[in-house]
Amino acid sequence: MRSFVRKILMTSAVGALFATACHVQVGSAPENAPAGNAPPHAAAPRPAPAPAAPPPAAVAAHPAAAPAAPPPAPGGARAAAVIAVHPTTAAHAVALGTPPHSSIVKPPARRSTAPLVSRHRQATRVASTAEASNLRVLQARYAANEKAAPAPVKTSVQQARAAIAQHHYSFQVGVTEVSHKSLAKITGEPTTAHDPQIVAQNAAARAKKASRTNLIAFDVKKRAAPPARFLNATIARENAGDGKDSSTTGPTTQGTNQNGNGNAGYPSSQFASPSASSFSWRDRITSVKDQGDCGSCWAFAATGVLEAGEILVNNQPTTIDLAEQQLVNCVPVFSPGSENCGGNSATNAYKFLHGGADALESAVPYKSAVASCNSSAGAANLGVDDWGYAGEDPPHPTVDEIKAALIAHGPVSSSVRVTSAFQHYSSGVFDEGDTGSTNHAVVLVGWDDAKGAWHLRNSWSERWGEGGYMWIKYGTNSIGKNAAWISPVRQPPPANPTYNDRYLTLQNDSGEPLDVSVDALTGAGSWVPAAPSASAAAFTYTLAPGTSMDVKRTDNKQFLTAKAARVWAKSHDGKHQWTAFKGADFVIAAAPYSAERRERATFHFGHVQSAEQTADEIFTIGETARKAGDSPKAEAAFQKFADHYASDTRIHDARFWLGYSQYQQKKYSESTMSLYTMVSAAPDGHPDIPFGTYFMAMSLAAQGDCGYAVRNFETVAYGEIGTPPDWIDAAKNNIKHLEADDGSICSNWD
Amino acid sequence: MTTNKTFALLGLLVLTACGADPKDPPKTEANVPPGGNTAAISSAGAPASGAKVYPQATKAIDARVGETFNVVLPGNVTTPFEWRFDESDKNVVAMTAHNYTDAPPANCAGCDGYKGTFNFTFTAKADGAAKLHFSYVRAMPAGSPAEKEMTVEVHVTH
Repeated sequence: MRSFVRKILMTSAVGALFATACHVQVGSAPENAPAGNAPPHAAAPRPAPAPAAPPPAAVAAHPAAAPAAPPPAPGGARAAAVIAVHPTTAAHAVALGTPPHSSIVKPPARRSTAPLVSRHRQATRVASTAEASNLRVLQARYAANEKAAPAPVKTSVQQARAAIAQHHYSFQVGVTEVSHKSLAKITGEPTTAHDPQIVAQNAAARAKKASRTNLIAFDVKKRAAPPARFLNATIARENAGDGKDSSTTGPTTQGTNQNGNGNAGYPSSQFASPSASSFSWRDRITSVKDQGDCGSCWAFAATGVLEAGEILVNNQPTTIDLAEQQLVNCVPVFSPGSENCGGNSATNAYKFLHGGADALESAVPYKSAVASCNSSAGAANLGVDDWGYAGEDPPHPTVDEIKAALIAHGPVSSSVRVTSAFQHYSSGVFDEGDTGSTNHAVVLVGWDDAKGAWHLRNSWSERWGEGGYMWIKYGTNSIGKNAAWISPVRQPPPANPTYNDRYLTLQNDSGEPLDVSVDALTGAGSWVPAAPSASAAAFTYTLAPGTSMDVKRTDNKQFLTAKAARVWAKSHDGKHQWTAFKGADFVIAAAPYSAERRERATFHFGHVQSAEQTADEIFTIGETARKAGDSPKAEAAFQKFADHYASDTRIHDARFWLGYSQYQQKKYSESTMSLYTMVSAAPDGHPDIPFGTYFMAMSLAAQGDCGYAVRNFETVAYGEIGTPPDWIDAAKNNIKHLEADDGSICSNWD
Repeated sequence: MTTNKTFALLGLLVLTACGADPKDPPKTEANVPPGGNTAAISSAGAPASGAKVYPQATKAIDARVGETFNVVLPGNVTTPFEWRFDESDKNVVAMTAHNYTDAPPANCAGCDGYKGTFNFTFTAKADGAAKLHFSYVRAMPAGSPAEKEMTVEVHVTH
């Protein structure tokens, strides 16, 4: 996928330096790039979040086509060569202009309440006459109670009424038979929601929200991938070679079972999605463990969640095995006199792991009994960077809040009420409905709305339940209580390899069929097929106008990699020649560089034209047109900017406005691709990503691709990628709107 | 089928065990004197309030016909294991109920994995002797071997 993006950018970047036939050092700005980094559009507001459900539009022409070739220059052509570097590399080489999103215009998004209202109506039940009579009796009793109630109880009820009025709740309160009792007495459980430590913890967690690990944020670029039909042409071209060292991954789709072990009776998805009807991490986490005869469920739940985080965030293998015993030995006991085989909590384990570290199972094997703590057994980096309770009102999050936590952070720990029936569960959906106090800790890994159930991982070995798992009805036996997530300490990414050469792509924008010759200086320092000379052999190719090719050696069919090359060509009719680099080296890799994959350089055969306008001039034209509502003119300007100034600091902004102006013109296919290019190429955390993703989703929805649209709306809504609150609301509403679609908008839910 | 029957039985037993406040802190076996204590169990569904209570170490019980008594075994329902009553001469002694009682430690707000007791209630039916056999096994899968076993001899007289 990244290769595809690079390809698009290579294609669009080749026009950047028509004025001079030169080569550009990797990472440097083009010679005619603006000197300053301050974007002239500093106060440019983003468009307001538009509601989904624009009218379906016919799919426009394939947008991946290269920009139109510039007109032929008077007096014939001369060689023009450009190296367009990997966009990410280029972007990191310069300071990024940051549009001020504080000035975003945010009118209220249109609410898509119709489906919700409908459901509400279905759930509404008219009270019977008998019930109404009973209610009147109760209300009279409560009123009498209130008259006789002590002052603190009266005050408490009055405060509750004030809160009801403030929040426009629809229920009433009175002095009942339990009003004088503490909540802990009534429920049997202390009110952890008001535990100052928990409140402080959640406040701190929210404060760190912007910086913590979020799995959706990790996947923004992958999740943004539009349907395969948008990409097929380019991917087919990239895969036409032998694939060696190819960075092409192709489009990803939902429903892929990561381990390739088929549908084992539970849903799986490559893309986590809080609005999916079913989802499970089961295929992507460690195997089920066995706690044995020790009340260490809390340690197993915490370890299971941490292991999942290590896998999902730090790319550890699913065989990673962390030591529950280390937690049993080392986590402070819950209260004086208790011991860790007699209960504790997963969140206590998180507190221990926050700043501390777990050990590997091989270092501290499980004993099913408490042993002395060896804190030095903790392995470096196997700790918790951050943790928090799901939802805004712990310890009782809503189903949606738990789903959101599952998606944003991976599997979550949860308390549950275990009974003998629970112990004997073998299959099906467990729905005992026991209301006793929670006493067991488990891991929630997914859900299935069709079952109305969470996918629960227990620590009683694979011999229990469905291979160690259970489907448990939402809310039954208090499942979901104390649901908590973690973000593991991030492992430093592996160092990128170093290369001293690049692939070579030839791009023919001359308007004529060309016969091209290449001699290349390999990274090993030898010329292939021969050192340049008047009579030396060369690799030769035929290049049709408007096409590009990834150069292969014609002797061994491998993609050509080179640190320098001699490149020359002539038109079929022999009237035009490109010879600037026949006698001089075209430098491809001036120095070794470090990158995830070997980069690609493009040699461009084009017409000569002078740079009629600077980057500032073009951008200003686009800005002026955009603000005046002249979308066609804005599109033309930003397209030109993107084509010619791919290394400019404003390139991501330009691509956003290009896509947006196309969206405004209902050119949804073009808009999708422009915005996808922007989202994919912008560095992680770029402030334009939420907006580009939003309007890409809008464009996809307009084309009926609702699965892809929803995935991108989810990124905006749940990805914690810096989306302003109003845009989050708009994205969530659009998800609901699309999910409630009766077919008038959506034609593809892949 | 076996599992379904087990669920049905468990459900029945739990229902019959209801009545006491399940949130009252349960007593532990440490409070139970040898020979039984009629005040020991007053918690969660203790099936026969006022009945004598016998702890795990009990080897023999003397009971009169018509008397109800409890055998209370420490365990933890949050582990895969449970105490199971296996056999007796039902003509002499019959189990009439069983349940599980939580025993959370103090200040256990939000803690999980705490221990409890498996409570078995018996009624002496007729003169004679019987052996009550208990096994500590994995609840699932069915047929798991016992990890621990315990036998109590009961002598019933008029």
